[in-house]
Amino acid sequence: MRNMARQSVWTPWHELHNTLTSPLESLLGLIPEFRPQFDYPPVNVWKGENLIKMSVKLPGVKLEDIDISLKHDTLTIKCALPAEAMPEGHVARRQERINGSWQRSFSLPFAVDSDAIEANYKDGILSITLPKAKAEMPRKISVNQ
Amino acid sequence: MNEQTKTEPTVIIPRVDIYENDSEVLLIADMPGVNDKGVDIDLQRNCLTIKGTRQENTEEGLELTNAEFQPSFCYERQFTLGDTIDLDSITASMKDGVLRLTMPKVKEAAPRRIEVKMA
Repeated sequence: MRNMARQSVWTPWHELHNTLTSPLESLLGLIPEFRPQFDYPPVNVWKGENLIKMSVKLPGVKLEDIDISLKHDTLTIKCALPAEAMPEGHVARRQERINGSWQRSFSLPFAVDSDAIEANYKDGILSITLPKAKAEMPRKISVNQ
Repeated sequence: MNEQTKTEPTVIIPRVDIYENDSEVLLIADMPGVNDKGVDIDLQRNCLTIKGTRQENTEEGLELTNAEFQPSFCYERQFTLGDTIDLDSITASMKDGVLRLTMPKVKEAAPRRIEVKMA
C-alpha cells in the first residue's frame, strides 16, 4: 500500500519525463548507433496454411556459412564467422556494420518436413521455406463398405 | 496493385564502415535486399548520396506473424567528400547486399620548380 502511494506521487514526474525524452529518443532513433538493439539479424516470418516462410536480413555472408537446424519444433539459424578483418594498412574512420557470429531460434507453430526445408540466399536476404509435415496435413480416410 | 494500397516505403539509414589509407577511402554499406539494379549512387559536387530500394510483395495466403523489418523499404544516406578524393575515379560494386565504394585520393602534385629565365 505504501509503495503504491509513493508511486502515485511520482506519476506526474514520469509523465513529464516521458514527454521530454520521447521526442529526443525518436530523434536519436534516426542515427544507427543510438537505435535500440534488436535481435540480430532481423527476421520476418510468414505463416501460411501449409508452410512457413522466413526472410532474414543478412548482408555479406555466404550460404555455406549459415547453419540451419531443426530439433522438434525449434528452428535454429546459426552463423559462426570471425569478425571481418579490417582492410590491411587502413585506418577505421567509422564502424557501424555488425559482423561476427550469432544464433537465433524460433518455435514453429506446427511440425515441418525437415527433408523439404529449402533455403536460398540472394542480395543479402536469406529465405527459408518450411513445408508442413505430411503427418500434420489433414488426411481423408475412405471407408470401405 | 491498386493506388490506394501504395504507401511510401520506409527510409532506412544504412550502416557503414569507412576505412582510409594514404591512397584511398573505402566505404562499405550494408544494404541487404538491394541488388545492383536497385542501387543508385549520386554525386553532386562533393556530396555523395547512396540509395537502394527493395520492393517485396506479400504472397497470397500468407500472414506476416513476426515482423522485424518492412518487406519494402529504401535506404538512403549522404556523405560529404573531402577535397582529397578524386571524384572522377570512384568505383562501386554491389554483392550480397553490401555496397563497396572505392574512392581514390588525388595524387598530390609533385612540387614543381619553375625556373625563371634571365632575359
